[in-house]
Amino acid sequence: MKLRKPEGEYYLPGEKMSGIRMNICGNCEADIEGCRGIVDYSGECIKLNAGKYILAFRGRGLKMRCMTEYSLIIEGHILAIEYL
Amino acid sequence: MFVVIIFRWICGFFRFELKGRFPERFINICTRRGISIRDLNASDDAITGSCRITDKQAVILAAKKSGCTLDITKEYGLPIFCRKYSSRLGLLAGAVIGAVFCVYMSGYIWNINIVTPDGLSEFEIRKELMENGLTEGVRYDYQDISRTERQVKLCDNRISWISINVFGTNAVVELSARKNVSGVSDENIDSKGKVSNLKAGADGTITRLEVQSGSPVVHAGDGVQKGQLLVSGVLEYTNGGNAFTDSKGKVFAKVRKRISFEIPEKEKKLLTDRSCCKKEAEIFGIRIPLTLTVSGDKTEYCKTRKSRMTLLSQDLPVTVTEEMHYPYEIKEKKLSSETARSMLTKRLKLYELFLSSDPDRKILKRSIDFRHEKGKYILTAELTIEENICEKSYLQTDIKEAEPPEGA
Repeated sequence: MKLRKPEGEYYLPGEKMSGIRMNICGNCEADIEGCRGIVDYSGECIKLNAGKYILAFRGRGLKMRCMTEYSLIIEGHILAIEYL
Repeated sequence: MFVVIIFRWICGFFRFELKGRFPERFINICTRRGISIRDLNASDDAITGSCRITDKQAVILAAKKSGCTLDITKEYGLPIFCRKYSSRLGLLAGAVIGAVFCVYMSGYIWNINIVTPDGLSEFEIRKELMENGLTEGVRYDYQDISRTERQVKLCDNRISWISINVFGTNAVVELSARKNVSGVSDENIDSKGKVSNLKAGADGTITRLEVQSGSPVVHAGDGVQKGQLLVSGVLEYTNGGNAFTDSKGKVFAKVRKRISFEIPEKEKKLLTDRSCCKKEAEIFGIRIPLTLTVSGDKTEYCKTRKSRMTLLSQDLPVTVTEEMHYPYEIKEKKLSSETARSMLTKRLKLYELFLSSDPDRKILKRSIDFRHEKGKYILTAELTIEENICEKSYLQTDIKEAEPPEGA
């Protein structure tokens, strides 16, 4: 179930228990907090370890603008977000 | 964003290229160790990114642990710049000295712009400012500008208002001249309560009168002698009463003046063909000679010209002074009649120019006589001038200013 907050943030299923939060700005930028690492990284697909599942971003020209221990920013042309 | 770029440059960063089978492992190791990676870009066979210069060793270790090959492409930032020029301390010393020099020299006044109205000479104002402590090369902090303004205004009674503003190293002086109302001079301001007559200062024929107070006793066309009463300070009323006033006004008359100029037949000082030029530069108040010409011979004329350098219409504190020295010899040379006449005519014209500077004076006619006698040439001019011939003559009395009696 998705709950939409006024700012455009989305609560993912079980997000509060897994601790991952995501801010998406259109289809160009995604700000992710609480991920545990990168599983796969390429220009067309970025897969993140979210604990109980894998979060995959598919698109074109994807790149990580900034990455720290608990957060990262993905920018590029996002076509799909998958929960694997 | 610009501030972020500047901050990153100050801290320093490097770009790297990572090749290997498991670049994701490298990224995870870096993030777990608190290494911040930016601008990650994945291509077919490599990943590029940038990192802070302080994390360089940690990144190299992470790449080694993950089994990838790390290639540092380029390093950027202030630490790299300083490391590059660390052996050249002179550059740093020069930069520091230059900065200190600019800051210190900015506290001096290097240029004074004077905006004068007509009738006031910029040279005289500049001289008065110098006498009161404001000149090029003085330190602005030690200057009491208000005091200088007051002192200059007190010293020169032609100035009614003066303002000195300092903008950086430029001082702008603006002033306005005191205006005299026609017929009232500064002397008359203090004559309240006094009684005076106007008398003729020279012989002449009256052409017109401009009387403001007093009773005129002459008319246009009358001939007057020096000392004759023109305007009386005693007022007589029809009922027989008298009153006294301070006479004011102008009485214009045609006056004849005779003036002679003479020049000896034999000229003693003769200019030689030799002349020399001496140049000197003044930079921030320090005088530097540009030529090694030796002069100072007493028998020479000197002509000085000063020019200031400008940049983008701003005056710089660099002045070049050029002195032309024309030595002369003490020799006797006989003057020809034409040369002597020409020289004496120039002197006469200068004298007439001086006379004409007074607005109340006008030269109507002149007749010139030139002759040669007793070893000299003499030029005599008879000028007919129309001028104000009034001279004030105060009466010795304590009587107050005129008040008309009742019934007048």
